[in-house]
Amino acid sequence: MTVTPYPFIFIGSIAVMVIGMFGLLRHRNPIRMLLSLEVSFNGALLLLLYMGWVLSSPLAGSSMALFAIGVSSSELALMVSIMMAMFKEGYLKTLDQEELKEVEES
Amino acid sequence: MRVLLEVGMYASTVLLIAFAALAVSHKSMIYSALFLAFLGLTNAALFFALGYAFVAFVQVVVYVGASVLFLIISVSMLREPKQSGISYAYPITGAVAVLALGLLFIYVFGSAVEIVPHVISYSLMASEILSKGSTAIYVLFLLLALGLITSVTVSLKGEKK
Repeated sequence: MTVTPYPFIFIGSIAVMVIGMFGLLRHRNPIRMLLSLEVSFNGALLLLLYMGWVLSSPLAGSSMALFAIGVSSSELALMVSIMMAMFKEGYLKTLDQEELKEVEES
Repeated sequence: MRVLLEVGMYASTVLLIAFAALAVSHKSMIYSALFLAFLGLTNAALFFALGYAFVAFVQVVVYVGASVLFLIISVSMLREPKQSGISYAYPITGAVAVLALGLLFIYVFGSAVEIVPHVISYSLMASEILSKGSTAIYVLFLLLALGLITSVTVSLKGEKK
């Protein structure tokens, strides 16, 4: 019985993390930034489970992954509800952060 | 069968990268959120292939089924602002094609691999977590409860006006 690591999963998870980070830095819209962060989180989760698989510690990998999924779900719901409430209250007239900065400065 | 599973894993990895790129670069936020859901599903398929069946189930039910759907519905309720359109269609397609060719190269010329999913005892995992990480679980429950209360409070505050 041989366990050979799959390099393409490692490469893929790193690529997804990098794409998410790129989106986080590139976009100025907070919801898009949140989406990019979630993309990056998915890559990190895959990397975590893959490393657990490679290092033959699936218990640690899966338990940490379950915690991470739970925390990420609650964080996503919280962030989106805060943004929706800010829209309702009228604090956010725009979603563009550059325009928000201009509003704050004026 | 083993080869089929391997090819499925290769294809899932390529799809994962493609969905990530689309979720980040698509002009419409609703489609971006939809691609994020597809990304979560592809991720769950990879978890399943690695032997993490329960994590894949949680990923599909909790993450994609609840959180990302909530995000999609919320985004669809917003008035979408004008985007500074990022047109990455050709570079992304090229990158995915190059990556697919690279993965095919690894598959053809790489060493023979054997998929051996780990057999995970979840009762053992639960007892390990409860015995060694009880404080972390309390903190996690507190954080989740706090998050839930804050979400409801913030939403109700928006409702009053």
